[in-house]
Amino acid sequence: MTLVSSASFKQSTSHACDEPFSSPLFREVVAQFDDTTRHVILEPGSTSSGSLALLQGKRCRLLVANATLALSALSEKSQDTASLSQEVASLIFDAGTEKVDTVLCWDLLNYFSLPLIKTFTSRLAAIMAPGGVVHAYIHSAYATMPQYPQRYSPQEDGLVLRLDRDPDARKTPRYSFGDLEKHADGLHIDHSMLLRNGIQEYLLRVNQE
Amino acid sequence: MFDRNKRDTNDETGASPTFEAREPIEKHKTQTRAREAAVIGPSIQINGDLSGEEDLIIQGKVNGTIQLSEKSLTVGAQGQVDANVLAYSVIVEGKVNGDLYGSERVSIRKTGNVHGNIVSPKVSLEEGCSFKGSIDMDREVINKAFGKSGASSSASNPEHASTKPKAAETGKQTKSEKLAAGNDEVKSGSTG
Repeated sequence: MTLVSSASFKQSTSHACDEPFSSPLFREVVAQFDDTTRHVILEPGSTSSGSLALLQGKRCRLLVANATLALSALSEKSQDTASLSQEVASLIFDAGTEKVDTVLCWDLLNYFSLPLIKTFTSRLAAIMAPGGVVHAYIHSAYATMPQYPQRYSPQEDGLVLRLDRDPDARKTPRYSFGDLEKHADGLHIDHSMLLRNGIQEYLLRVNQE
Repeated sequence: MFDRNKRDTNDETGASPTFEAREPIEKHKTQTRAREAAVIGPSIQINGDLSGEEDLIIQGKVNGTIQLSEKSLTVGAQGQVDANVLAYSVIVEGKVNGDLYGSERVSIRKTGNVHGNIVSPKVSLEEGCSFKGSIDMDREVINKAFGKSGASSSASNPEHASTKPKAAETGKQTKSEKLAAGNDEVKSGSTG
């Protein structure tokens, strides 16, 4: 486990992630994709043309759950664990006879309650290969964030761009390293890095059986 | 049953195809890739399996399977397809519920809504489209799906380090697998 607490990010009134930004852990994840080993990747939300361009020519299968809004809406409901698990499982389908190697959550976890993070990560662990990785951005530097999860897209120059530019409209939960470590069921934090734009970037890995 | 229109095939540019019915002949002579396309109009509904040797534009409803191995399928903005599709290229501007196999390309335009799996070497999703399913651009899977390796289709069961076949799923061939394997069942009913 590595925690890189870095760099003096610049506090400002607007989010610095409106500009393309360097995302070292994401780069580390996509560096695994090549034309020799098959990888199964899951995007719980929608995908982008940048992601497709990145995967073209690689031995990859991309699962697109398109469930961002439905998942984040589950945070608003109070319900028992069993029914929450059932709803999450219906939204996050598995890869059939394959196992998922990589999950690209982008900023989705910021929109989940801690019980939902637990249920969601438990579902991911169930459909992922041992040692598989989950990539996520946690807003840690700003008090507010957009109302809904935003779409991000890898760029040709290796940077990542936030595609949506929704204005901030709700409070950021500012989940800590400890929050994720405690509630990421079936996963552990492998690597974390504070980016210059105030996003805390995480790589979580599926626990080995 | 089918209208016959001329269609500009400009898949390479990613631009939307055009559907003008009677463009000047001279214009088409200059377009080397212009081809005849059959059109299923908006008032037509087909329940069954389609196969053919010409490009097809669907503006109506089709339930079943569609196989145009060497040709292009366009599901127009008014089109509603509940079928697995195998074609050279597939363009979706309407609604599709089914798996799409494109040996050259699959493009989902901004008005497109697809719920299913895509197997193709080139896939593009325009901003604003809706897609839920999986996208496989793995060359080995594509070759198997289109029978280029001589193996039977295994688009949903490729070799993978983490592959763990489930007992309940083994031995069961899905409709899309049958289609991708070039199963004879899809050849009944033709666009003629």
